[in-house]
Amino acid sequence: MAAKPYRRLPGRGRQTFGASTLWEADDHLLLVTSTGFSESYRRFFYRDIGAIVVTRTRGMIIQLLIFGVIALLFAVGALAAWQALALVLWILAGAFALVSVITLLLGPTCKCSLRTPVQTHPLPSITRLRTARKVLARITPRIEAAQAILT
Amino acid sequence: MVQTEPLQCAKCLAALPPELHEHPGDCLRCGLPVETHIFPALGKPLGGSTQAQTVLVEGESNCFYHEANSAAAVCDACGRFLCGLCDIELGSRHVCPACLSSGQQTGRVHNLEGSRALWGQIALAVAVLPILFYPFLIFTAPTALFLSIYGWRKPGSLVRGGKTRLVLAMIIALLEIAGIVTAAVFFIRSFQDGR
Repeated sequence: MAAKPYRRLPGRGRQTFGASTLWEADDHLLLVTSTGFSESYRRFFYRDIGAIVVTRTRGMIIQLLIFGVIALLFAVGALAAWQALALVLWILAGAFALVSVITLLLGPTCKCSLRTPVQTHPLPSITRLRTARKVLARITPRIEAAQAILT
Repeated sequence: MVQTEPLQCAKCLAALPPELHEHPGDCLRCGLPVETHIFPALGKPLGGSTQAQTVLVEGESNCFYHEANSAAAVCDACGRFLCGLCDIELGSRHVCPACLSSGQQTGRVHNLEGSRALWGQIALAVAVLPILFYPFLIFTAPTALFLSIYGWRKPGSLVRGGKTRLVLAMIIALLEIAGIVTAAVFFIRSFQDGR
């Protein structure tokens, strides 16, 4: 059985009309943006990648604040409400608290961009710092091997 | 030393000072922590127009398209000798303009494809979504079947192979058509019995 030409890298970025994923090939990276009914492709050859910039953002803190406040509001409402309604509100409070915990476990958010000789292109599939570190760990050796002749 | 454009913050696109190229720090505009991973290609100058060498020695190989230019590469698709002007690099491959053009038209040169339609997704959506508005199935079921057959020979996703969705769309469309035919026969018979 022939080996697959592309291997999926960690991360998935949601956009207005689709999602982005990053794939690893033997000599290039492939950024796939899918709208559900079509895919568009952007290739970055390893020999052309000059730099990858990772900027940590405040997304995680904002999400924690929002979900935490909503969970708190539902919990306060549950304390004041009577039995049947209180149960529903406790369930909702628990759900939002769970989402907050998951957000915390996923770690800090970030934005990532890739620099080539002609452009700087965002990598929307990388939204968490942990994902960025995993992707860099996989592609850095390939980039360095492709550019070994330049050192 | 090659002058390069400064790196940009991935969030606010502000130019990053040179010290951030070597150590993590905060962006001067948005104040967010930035880390950069630099590779040797950052200092590589952008390639200018390729110069073709003229044939200097009798018997030296010349380009298939330019007799006066010496050959610098061989087309991996057709084997023709190519000068620096005609040599087109696609990743690690060298191709001539003719093979690049024909490969692009026939879809055999995958590196040039910028997008693809996902016929399996389209056919499945046409087969499934109208179930909520079942009178429209009379039109959408045959359409879904047609799209499944049409998309069967079309290339699918570059990264996710398989024809599962096409097969599923075909089965659902056929079941819907069978249901429509059955309902039509039932109503016709009921109408005839009712006369």
